[in-house]
Amino acid sequence: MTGERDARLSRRAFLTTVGVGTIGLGLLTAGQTVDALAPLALFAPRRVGAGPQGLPVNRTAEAAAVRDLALAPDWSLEVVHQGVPSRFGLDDLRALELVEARLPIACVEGWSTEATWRGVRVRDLLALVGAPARSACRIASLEPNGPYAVTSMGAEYAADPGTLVAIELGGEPLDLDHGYPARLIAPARPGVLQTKWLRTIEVVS
Amino acid sequence: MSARRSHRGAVGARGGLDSPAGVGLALLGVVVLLLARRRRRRGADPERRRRASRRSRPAPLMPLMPRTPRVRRPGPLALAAAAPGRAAVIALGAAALGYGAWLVLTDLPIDLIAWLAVWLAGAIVVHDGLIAPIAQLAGVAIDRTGRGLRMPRSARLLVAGGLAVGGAWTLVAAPEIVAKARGAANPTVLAGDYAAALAWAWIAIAVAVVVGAVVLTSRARSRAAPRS
Repeated sequence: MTGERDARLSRRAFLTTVGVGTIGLGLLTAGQTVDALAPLALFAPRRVGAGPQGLPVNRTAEAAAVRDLALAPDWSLEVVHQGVPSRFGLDDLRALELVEARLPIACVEGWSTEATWRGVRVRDLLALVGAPARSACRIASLEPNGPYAVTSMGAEYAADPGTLVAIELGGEPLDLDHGYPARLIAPARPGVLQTKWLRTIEVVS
Repeated sequence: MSARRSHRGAVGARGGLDSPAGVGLALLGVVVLLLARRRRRRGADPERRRRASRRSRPAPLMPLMPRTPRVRRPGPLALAAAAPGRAAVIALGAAALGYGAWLVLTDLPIDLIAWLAVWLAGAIVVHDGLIAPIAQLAGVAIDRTGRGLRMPRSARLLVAGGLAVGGAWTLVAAPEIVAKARGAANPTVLAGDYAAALAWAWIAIAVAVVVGAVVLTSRARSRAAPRS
């Protein structure tokens, strides 16, 4: 009888231990995504508000070796439709209708931080070059190397009014580490595919 | 057996499992489980067991003790009827497992499935070869020391629980400490002071455990005192 009682007790103790350990660890790490828990995020790899313009960075301009290309005064975004390139300099982009979107950088590493972005809707740019809003695109960065230097973006992203070529973050020009002069920001797209230091948007369908 | 081999042939030929093959494999698994179950039941047959025990074991020390009647184990349906809540939870878990297995079999190429198996086996090896022995030794040490200090079982469990929680948190913080010491890619990566965080976590655990253990021990002693 004693053995059975002990076994029952230790199972409860086991579940309590696992519960305390798991919930405690959740509380001590979730703050890198849940703002309310940020003060508790002792074990979180990221800190809310750390980094230039209050946003963490995965790949710096330094690491991506894009500093010179991104700071070049003659930079322009190339939008290619049916093989014809159209070029938009930073001033051209500023002259278009700028819209604001509050969207997170949601990293597959597990952190996520929301920010206020301002820029030109991708679908507006597509309209300017005569491409339909629902176009699948190939997005290229100035970044010479790197696994995400060129990525694909489905037509549903391009058509979404929240998908921007962002040139401002929190009311200021983008920090170089956040993709100056222009970056992509789209709803529900993994952080690593929110291409920084944009070079080309190519319509592929 | 031949059915399974033909499945494997299909995997090799196509380099991946399409969904009908995955479902077929899952069904095969269910059939194997059912067969194993029947065999085990047959093994539990009293006549067979008696014969087996006569061969291998000496006569019972107390032959006059009434033999406990063999209780027929209720089937899964009877168990489900007796505890519908638990049955529902088990069914939900089994469904989630099945869906996960189906996704693995249909979405991953065969070489990734093989690596997945290696990874999962690695977890077992690390657990059984390293974590379990350490936990066992720690448990024995806590038990002996606790008994020496005349701590009740509840207080000894609290100490063990505290060590388990702290150990798990250490497993999370240690890689962060090492990675930060080796240098992070930029200042926003590994932005915290994880060594200090870990120290504070252990201090908090130690305070909670010591306070709890003292309370439990004094309560147990005051309960035991009037009787003696």
